[in-house]
Amino acid sequence: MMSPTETKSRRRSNRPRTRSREAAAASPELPPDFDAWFRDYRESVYRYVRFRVPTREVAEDVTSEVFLKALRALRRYDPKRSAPCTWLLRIARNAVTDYLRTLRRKGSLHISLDRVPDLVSQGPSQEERLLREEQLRRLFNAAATLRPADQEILSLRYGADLGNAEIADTLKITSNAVAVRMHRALTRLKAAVAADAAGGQR
Amino acid sequence: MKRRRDDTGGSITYPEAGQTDSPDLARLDRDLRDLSIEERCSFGPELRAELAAEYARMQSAGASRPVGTRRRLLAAAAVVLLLIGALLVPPARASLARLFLSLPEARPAAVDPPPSPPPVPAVVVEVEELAVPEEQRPAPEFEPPPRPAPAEGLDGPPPPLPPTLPSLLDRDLARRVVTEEYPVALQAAGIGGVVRVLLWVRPDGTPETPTVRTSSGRRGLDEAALRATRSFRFLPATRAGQKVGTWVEFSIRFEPNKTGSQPDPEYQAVEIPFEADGPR
Repeated sequence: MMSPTETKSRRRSNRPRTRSREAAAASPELPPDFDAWFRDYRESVYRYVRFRVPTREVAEDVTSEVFLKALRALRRYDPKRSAPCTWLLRIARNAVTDYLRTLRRKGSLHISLDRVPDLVSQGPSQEERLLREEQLRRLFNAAATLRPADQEILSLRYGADLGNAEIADTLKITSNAVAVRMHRALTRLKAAVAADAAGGQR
Repeated sequence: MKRRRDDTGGSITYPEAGQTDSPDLARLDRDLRDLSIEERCSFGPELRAELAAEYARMQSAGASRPVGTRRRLLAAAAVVLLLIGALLVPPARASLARLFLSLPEARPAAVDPPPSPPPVPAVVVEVEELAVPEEQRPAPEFEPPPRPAPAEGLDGPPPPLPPTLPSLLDRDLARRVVTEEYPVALQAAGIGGVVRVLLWVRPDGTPETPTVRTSSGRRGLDEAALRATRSFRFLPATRAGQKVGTWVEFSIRFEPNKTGSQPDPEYQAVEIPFEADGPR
């Protein structure tokens, strides 16, 4: 199992901010700014999307859609109005909302870890991992029952890995409001997890 | 890929003092932070290549378009306004109707490739409309008045045969083809949609130049619909007893299984709306 420090350093190393010029020359061309955004924020966008949609395939599909839309709308991007990450996440929010709207019309939003093998837990032993994954399954099932606004803020925090100020910028609210909403969302999530556990025992 | 928040980046700051030490919420927070998301390792490079291809396409489209988009839009708006104006004048409306009706007749035989789809197709056939019985079909606004019946005992020329619209020959085959083309990955992910396809039905009943008229929003579904329609066979339209080519527009609906179990993609996945109309 990796320590948090190792994980953090590995994660940062995954972000190819210092990609070699040779590698950049070998890959197909993208606008330089957009290329940098893609390298820096793809992971955040993917995680945010993955937190809100049921499967990896859908997350990839929606993430692709986000970056394609961003590329096509690149000329309309105004750096004075928002940071690139905020802009991309706003596009991602709209894409996820569109997807969930169609999903709600068609069926259930119930999520099970049986169907989402890319959401896993790190544990020292197999038994502990299984236990943790069962907890995560309940966590995700419970999160799927929350209000969209709660899911939104939890996804921005735990999926896109944003701090309060960045979430505030994305949602166009104050940092204090973010803290309040986060606290309420976590409280409701805790209640939903408890209800799910009680239902499972019955 | 292990995900863990940067603890220096922003721990939760609760507005009320004393709530930060709520053990349940702290544990929940820790659980969520410890959640790992394993991204498919080739996803990033694949997406980047797709973006680069899209960017190259955008650049080439921009280079081959000397007239600016705004100017093109203005020109299109002017044409539309002219057409609307012409439609308000009854004689001009009748002329336009005659012009649109004569376009398929003016087309040469099937050896020539069909023209590119017009902005307003000469004859856009809603397949759903084909199911409407002949006697219930509303009369077109520009239909000429019926000819007077020939007097009894006089030998006149036989009345012209009524035009017929194209119809799908083998609906079972069409359904099978569409079902086979439905990408299994999209189906498993619960992704469906409706693709509206426009194609030219040649006088021999074979389709040509199918294009997506209204996208489903998923490229995989659009491409599957186009692949499937190339296998369709039609009973061609006729005018005065002669087979003629016609533009046909119809929808193909991809609908994933709603039960959550692994569906049999052969028969549960796809619904072709015009299937319910029955053979014609």
